[in-house]
Amino acid sequence: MYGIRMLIRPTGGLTFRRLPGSILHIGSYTFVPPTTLSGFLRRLVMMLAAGPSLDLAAFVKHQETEREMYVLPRDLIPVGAYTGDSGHWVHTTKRQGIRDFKHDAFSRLYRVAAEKEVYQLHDWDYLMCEDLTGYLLGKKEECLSPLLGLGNRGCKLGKEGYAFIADITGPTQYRLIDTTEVPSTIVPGRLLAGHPCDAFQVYRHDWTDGPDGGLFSPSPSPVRGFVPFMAGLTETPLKAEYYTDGTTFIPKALVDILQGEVV
Amino acid sequence: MASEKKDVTTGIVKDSDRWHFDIYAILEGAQELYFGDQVQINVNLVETVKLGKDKPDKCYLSPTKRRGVERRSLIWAPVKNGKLLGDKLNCGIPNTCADLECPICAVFGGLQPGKKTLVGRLVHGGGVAVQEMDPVEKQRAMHPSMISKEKGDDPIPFKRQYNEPGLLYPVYNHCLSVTDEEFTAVAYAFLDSLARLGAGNPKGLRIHEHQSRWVGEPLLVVDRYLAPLGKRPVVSPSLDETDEVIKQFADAAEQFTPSENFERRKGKEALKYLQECAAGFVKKHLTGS
Repeated sequence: MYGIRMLIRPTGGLTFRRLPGSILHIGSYTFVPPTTLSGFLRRLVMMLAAGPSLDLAAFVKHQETEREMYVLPRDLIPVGAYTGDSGHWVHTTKRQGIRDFKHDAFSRLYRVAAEKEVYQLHDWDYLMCEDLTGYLLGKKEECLSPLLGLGNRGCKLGKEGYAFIADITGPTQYRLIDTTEVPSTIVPGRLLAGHPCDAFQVYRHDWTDGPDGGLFSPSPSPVRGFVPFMAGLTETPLKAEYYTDGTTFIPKALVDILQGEVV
Repeated sequence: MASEKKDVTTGIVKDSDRWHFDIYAILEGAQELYFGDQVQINVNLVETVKLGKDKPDKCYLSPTKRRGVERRSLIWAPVKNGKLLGDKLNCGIPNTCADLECPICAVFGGLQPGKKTLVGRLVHGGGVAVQEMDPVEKQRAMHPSMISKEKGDDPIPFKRQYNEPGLLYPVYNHCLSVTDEEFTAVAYAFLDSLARLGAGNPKGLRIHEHQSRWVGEPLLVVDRYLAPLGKRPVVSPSLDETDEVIKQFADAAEQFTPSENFERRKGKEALKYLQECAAGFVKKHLTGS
């Protein structure tokens, strides 16, 4: 296994909406989930590949057709991006959410009492941090190298916010070893029995057998939807099988789940 | 036109070249400002953030507030015949028109539920104040307007927090794949909103000018590019030394490779560029000539 490491620097607060969740409380993960990182990197690759023509396919919501998703090919495995020692904080603030879109009360300079002037008050989470370290694994060195050109590129990341890739290094070889270490990423729930952790429901892509055009293809990825699984962030050492370059420890069980293996 | 729109996967017809644009600026509160958060009993609080469990609270000019003020400064922009631009375009909040031709929705995005979605291509960032100065709490009162006072007409006291004047706020606006013409709305909104930021009175920020770096020039950078060939002047929100922030901002802004795919304008040149773009917006959409 090979891996590249990215330093992702946000230019403001970020929201990675936790699902399932409340409508009124827009909660955020405290890391970039693997599926979100996949879409972010694919979008950056498409912007890089489009060059001067700047095909906007990566920015469009396809509402009329079946849901189409642009994610990294299946042989590239993003395992998420995580805040490091510089710390992070979830800032929760109030936001006025719209309940009825058929009025313009919020842009009127002269207002009279209007029944439609209703909003719902959200509690909205923003992840505040200096940077996040992301990891991307691949079975072959050459399939990772096209992503090394993404340095300094940025775009929207998550539900709110913008981030760019401040640094990208690799590929380096990751060996599979059985050891006891503090994992660098989220850990699937079954390895966490007896360990204190922050637990989250996260998702993996539900792959189909359809053709995958690869990184630079204008056609959508063979993804049907998302499959939930439980995972957690822990700071205690954990005995497990890890892919490691010596400093980063990525649980094999997470890689297996993200690739779609039924566990 | 309709069939033309179906030819592209994005739904956006390519009419002229598109670019990415970034605006990086260090704003300065020119007086005490109120960026409201919540109301406790008799105290109106300002919004503060922190960057870690043991880190201090810092004042905050949230990107969502800047976005709201910018969008409204476009909607309320005066058109020659006495109308406001939002009325001319029939575009408001939350009832956005979501028309491709609307200069507001084209960059800020729009939604007609169940009918059409125009994805916004302008993203706002930054806003964490540099200095660790706590908000000040001031006594205010709502005075009745009578000249002669009778029993029961007592003023209603309340307290309000303010962000101290002189606080610096690094802010960033990022545009993805917009045309030069679409960017004129972004430039107009950025410049016009500066005087209008802050709830109640007083309002207004300016672009900071520093006494040791870029003397006499605003700390402002505007990039227009296809490939990001310059170091981004994004400063860490946890820095609290003004001089260090200015140094990092200016040093990064000076590291770039000019090319046909990357243009960077700094200081006065950047401000002039934004002003020219804003003037183009006024000419096309407001004065109508």
